[in-house]
This record gives sequence, structure tokens and C-alpha cells, in this order.
Amino acid sequence: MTHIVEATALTKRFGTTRAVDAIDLAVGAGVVGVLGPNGAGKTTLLRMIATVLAPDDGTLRVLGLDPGRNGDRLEIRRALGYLPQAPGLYPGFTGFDLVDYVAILKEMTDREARRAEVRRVLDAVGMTDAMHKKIRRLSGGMRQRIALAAALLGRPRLLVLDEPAAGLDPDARIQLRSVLSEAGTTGTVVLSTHQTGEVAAFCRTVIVVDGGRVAFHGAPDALAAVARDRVWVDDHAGPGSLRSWIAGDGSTRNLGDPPAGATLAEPTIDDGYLLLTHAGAAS
Amino acid sequence: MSAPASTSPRVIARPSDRAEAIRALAVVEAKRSLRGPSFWIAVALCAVMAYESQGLDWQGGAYEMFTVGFIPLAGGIFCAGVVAGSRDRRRGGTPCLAEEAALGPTERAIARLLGLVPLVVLASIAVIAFAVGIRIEGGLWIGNRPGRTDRAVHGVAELLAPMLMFVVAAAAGVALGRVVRRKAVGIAIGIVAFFVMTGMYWALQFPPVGYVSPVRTQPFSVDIDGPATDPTALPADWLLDRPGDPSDEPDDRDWDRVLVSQSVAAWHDVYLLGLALGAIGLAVRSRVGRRLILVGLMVAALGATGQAVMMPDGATPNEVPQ
Repeated sequence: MTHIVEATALTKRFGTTRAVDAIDLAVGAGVVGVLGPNGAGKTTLLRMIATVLAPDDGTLRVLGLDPGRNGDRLEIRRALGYLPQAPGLYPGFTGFDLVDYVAILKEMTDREARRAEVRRVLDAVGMTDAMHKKIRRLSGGMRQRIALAAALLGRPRLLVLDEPAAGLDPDARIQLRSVLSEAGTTGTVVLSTHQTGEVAAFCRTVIVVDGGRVAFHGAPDALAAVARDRVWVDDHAGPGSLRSWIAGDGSTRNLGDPPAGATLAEPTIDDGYLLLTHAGAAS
Repeated sequence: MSAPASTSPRVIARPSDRAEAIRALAVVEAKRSLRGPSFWIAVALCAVMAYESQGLDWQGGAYEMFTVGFIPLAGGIFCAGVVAGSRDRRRGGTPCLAEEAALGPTERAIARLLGLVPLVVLASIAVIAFAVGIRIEGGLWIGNRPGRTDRAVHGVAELLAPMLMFVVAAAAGVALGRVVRRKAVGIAIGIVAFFVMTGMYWALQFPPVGYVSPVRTQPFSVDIDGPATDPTALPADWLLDRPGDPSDEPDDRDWDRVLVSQSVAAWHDVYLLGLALGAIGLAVRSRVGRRLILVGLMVAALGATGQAVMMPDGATPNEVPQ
């Protein structure tokens, strides 16, 4: 299997903090979800994959190329779309002008073809009607969609998206899934998210990052299976639970080592994720 | 949202598209610069200054104001440069737009510099148009009799000076725009730097600053002798400033020779060329940019030295009228 992203002992430090700590990773085609608590190193990892941040140690290959080499980096960038967490949009531009500007930055020089591509991506994110409004007049969700449209330009082989659903309403979020699922059929989409529901809905692979390390790498079902026999429902928080919360029906859902006689529940991705991140914190 | 159709072709960029992409970006930047208000406000200011300079009543006043009158245009181009250069400034951890795109900061800076070329060309056309108009009018009043003529037109070196000043302003604007977090701060820094470089001589009476000023005004005044001087004994092609003219100091009873040095003007052009190269280097950065800064500094030093060497004996470098 050809890996689109391969990392070995990938490390990035900020001062004394190891934001990414010797991560080994191999990502193939399809949609890959990156989960992790705040400050886990997701954004740093994605920025390195997107070639905008150089690693301190380890090796990284993207699309089979070395982003540390100028020529390779340029080739990667020609096949890459990236949505950062806070895209630096120009408030004085209209949505159309901004995406067109990004298309030029991506070396799309044929004016007619470029404009057709701009319209395509704006249509894909549902911004056709508002594309001539200035960015400063758009809501946060609309700006996010404009930034996503810019990332989709040129049908990149690798899409790196840092919290693409942030600020989107439920309808837009569901539609985003179809856009990304489609993109995942022809290339690779690596997205970070806090929404485990999204991961369950359309990610082929999930990576859980915690404390700068990969805590899990596998299928969403396998992440849920991590918590098998370690989730129980009770009317109160159990003494041995790592994490407990009150569910919608008023019962208390517990994670950890169940006491004898506990009513075990079917684990979800949330359970697997919480168990991994809290077990890590506990240890 | 709708899923993009998988059958439409992938838009692939070829390596040879790089220069073409810079050109396309420069076209977008040029359109935005032309649509921006700063240049047109500067044009209006320039027109007002040109109108006001008609009434100047000291010899060489209108001649001197020809150069000074284009400072607002340079300012307008500088502001447009700051706006363009600051597009990708980082604020509060926000990355620049499409950081991952094939065109990086250097290519973007080159495109933004090229995008200011139409403003520089328009401003330069204004310089040429004024110069042609002055020639049609028969020149500007520059000195008193007994010269054969008391009117003069600007030489090529003098006409080049404002054009080079526009290039310096454009490049300095982009360079500063890339550094500052807020456009207003960049513009304020530019204004302060300009007045430090041009107004220091006037403020501190420190002549060497005249050689590093982006604005060189002529004609020069060279003291000749006291009030007893017989002007008819002086060479017939000298233009003279007689004692007691309105622009003289109350205690100035000397005759002065009024002259324009094309050599000094040419060396000032060399100085401006050096500044322009250095500013372009600062705007572009990268390895080429660093070399340009070094070359620019050397050329500017050469230009300043050339002015000092060619300065007519007894003349003082003119300050910008305040």
C-alpha cells in the first residue's frame, strides 16, 4: 500500500515543550480523522504535513516527497490543499476575489479555467449566492466555508484540514461530510476535529493524538472497541471510574474498570477516545 | 453544499506557470492599488501643490517646488505599497493566506511590487507632463538679471529624480508592510522616516543630511560678495540673486549666484537608485533580496559621495521647504 504521509520519529519542539513527540505515522488514501484534546499536538502535526512548519527531528515524507527539500516541497504544495485553524482571509476582498487570488497563488494561470474552478469550489461549499459579499460582512461560518473552498481548489491529492467544521451550522456540517467523503474517494483527507460523530460518520481511519504522541491509530470501530467491557451504566459515578458523566436519560455512564455486577454498555468512539486520553492522563 | 463532481478534470499547475502566476498576481495587485484611495488622494494633493506653487515669489521658488510637489504622489504610492505588503501580516497567530500555496512570500512580494508599477508609471507620466508644460511656457523663473535669461527648465537628471523617488516609495511601502502588524503603523513609520531624512538639515542645520535626503531641490545659492559688487562685472551667463529679495534673510546683503548643477542631480539619481535597490531587496528578502540590499547600500553611498564631491563651491545643499 502506498502511503501518502509517512512519519518516523517526527518531533517538533516549542521551547521546552515537545508539541509533537517522536510520532511514527503512515497514512494511506481516504479520510483520516485526527482526534485529541486541546494542546495535544494536532495542529502542529497538521502544519508539518501541510509543509508550513519544519520538524525539528525525525523524517517526514508527503506524497512520497521530502518537504525539507525546496524542490520537493514545491511539488507537494502543488498537490496540497490546507485549511488552517484560523485562515488569514483578507477582509476587504469578496469571497470570489479571495478564492480567485488563492487560485493564482496555486499557479492556476489560465483565467477562464481558474474562474470556472473558483465557481466550482464555491458551489461545492454552498457559497455561490454570497460569493460577491466582502469577507468582513460574512459570518464566521461563511468565512470558514470560503476558506474551505480555497483549500479545495484544484482537487488536491492531499487535503489537510484543521477543524473544518468549526463554526458551521448542522446543515452545513452534514453537507461538509459529503464534500470531504467525495474528496476522500480520489485522494487523501487528513482532518483534525473534536467531533467524534464526524469521525464515526465518514473517516476510514482515526488517529488519536495525546501529549504529542499517537495514542491510537486504526479504524473507528477499533477505537470504540478499545472501551469494550470498560463502559458501564449506573445511577451514580462509580468509585473506579476514570471518567463519568450523566447521559441524556439521566443515567450515569462510567469509564474504567467496572465493579462486579455492573451493567456493561456497548462502547462508542467517544468512550474509546475518552478512555485513551484519560488513561494516559491517569498514568 | 454539494459534492464536487469527480468527473471534472484536475487543474494541475506546471512548473512553467510560476512566472505566469506572478504576473497574474501582479495584475490583481495592480487593479487593487489603482482602486485604492491613497494614490488618488495624493493626485489631488499634488494638483493643489502645483496650483499653489504658481504664486511663489522668490527666484527659483517654482523651480524648487517642481520636485517638492511630487512628494504627495510618492506618499500615495508608499501607502499603496504598505497596504499591498501587509496583506499577509500575521496577527495573533493567524497564518498568512494560503501559506501552503506554491507562491511563497518572495514571489508574492515580487508580484506586489510589480502591482505598483502602474502607479509609478502614472506618476512618472505626470512628471513628464508637467515638464513638457513648463517647457511650453518657456521655463520657470530662476534668477535676476543680468543673466541672458532668467528662466530655466529641468534637466533629464532632475526629471528622473521624482520617478526614482516613486520607485523607492513603492518598494519601501511593500517592505514596511511586510514587517508591521498594522498598516497605520507602517504609514506612520514611513512619514517619520521621510521627515527625518529630509527635514534634519532644515531642523538641525546639518548639511551632510542633505546628501542622504530622498528629495534634492535646486537651484543652489552661492554667495558672491557684498552689496558693493558690480553685477555687470560678473560673467554674463550667471543668474544672480540680488540683495534684498523677499526670500533673503533680513541681514543678507550679499549678491548670490543662482545655479542648477546637473552633476549633483545625476549623483542624487544614483543615490536614489541605491535606495530603490535596497528597498526592493528589503521587500523581496530571500538571498537575492539580501544581495540587492548590499548593492543598494553601496550604490547609495556612491551617490551621496558623488553629490558631496560635485557640490558647487560655497553652495549649501538645499533643504526641503517646510
